[in-house]
Amino acid sequence: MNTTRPYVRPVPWYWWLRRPAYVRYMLRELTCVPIGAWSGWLVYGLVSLARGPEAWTGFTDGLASAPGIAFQILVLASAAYHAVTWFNLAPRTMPLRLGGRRVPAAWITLGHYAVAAVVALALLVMGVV
Amino acid sequence: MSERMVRIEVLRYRPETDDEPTWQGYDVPCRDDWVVLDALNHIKDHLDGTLSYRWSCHMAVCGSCGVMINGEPKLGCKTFLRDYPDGVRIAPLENLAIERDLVVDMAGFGDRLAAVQPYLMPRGAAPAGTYRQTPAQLDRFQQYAMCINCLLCYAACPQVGLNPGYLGPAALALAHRYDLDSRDAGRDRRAEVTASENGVWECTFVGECSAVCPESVDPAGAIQQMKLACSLDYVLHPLRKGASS
Repeated sequence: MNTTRPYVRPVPWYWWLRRPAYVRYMLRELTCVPIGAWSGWLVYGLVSLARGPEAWTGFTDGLASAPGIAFQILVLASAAYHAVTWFNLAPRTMPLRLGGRRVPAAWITLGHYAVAAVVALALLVMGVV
Repeated sequence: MSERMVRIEVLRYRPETDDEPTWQGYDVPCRDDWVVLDALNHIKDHLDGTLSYRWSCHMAVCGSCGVMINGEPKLGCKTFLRDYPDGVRIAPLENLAIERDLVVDMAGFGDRLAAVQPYLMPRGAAPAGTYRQTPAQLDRFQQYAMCINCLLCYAACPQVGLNPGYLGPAALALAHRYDLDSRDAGRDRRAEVTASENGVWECTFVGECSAVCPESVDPAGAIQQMKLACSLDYVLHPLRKGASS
């Protein structure tokens, strides 16, 4: 008679510390937390705007405070890290072909940076005008 | 050819006697040109005939000798001992049940391969004679046809360990290989499995499946492309249905 008794190794909670690539992956995923909090803060800004000048001033004072600025730097760093990792992965997610040939991966990544730059510039111009 | 003693530690599990795996060390006289598999063969032939492991071709074609080498999933036949001056610790592939010593249970993987229906499902009758395909049509899927089923990608994927039902990188990449084939019309049938709760949406793009692949297949890329395709299906399907009625 042939019987087996397979041994299943449990996955420990610290599995993501086992390889540097897992740690980088977790960092990439964790960038959503400050970005999510920032989105919530912006919604709070809209609510403050609707409430009147006093609430709005409170919101802008919060933005300009030292903890506010530190948090915004963290949000910017998170968004930049997420964008860079995502743009680097884009050629594998969206491989393009032109005239039956593969578009080089670097072109797809650079295209993403170009679109991001144009959108950022447009938003900046709209904000100033 | 110079020879040096290398400490090889192997995670052993003998289901008749062991409740859990334990490490066992061997001092092996290794030559400069030896790979890890050579050391395992030396142990089996000269030091301990009870050691169990899989191997066949010794040239990175059969995909049998995948093991964890110092915590990294690698092919034993493609990993030179000279790159490990301090010795190696060899364990069975992570995320898979251990049958015995370095032998893992592959039955679940076979079921996953079968589940994605990895064969051509042509539209209508197959042509009489030869299928014709241009080099450009071949180039679309050829990369994903290079998989040797070594399971290194399953050992590298944390989602495989965390979600036992997940189809996993190799099976999904193989499904993608057929989805991209110009001779195939079975994508909708495969999507019933690949877009299900155990399919592509279990992947969170850790990307290590592609990093460890000895054949440079890119399962992570394949899975993201499948996510994009099934998202488009979700949006476009009602429109297509409306257009056809």
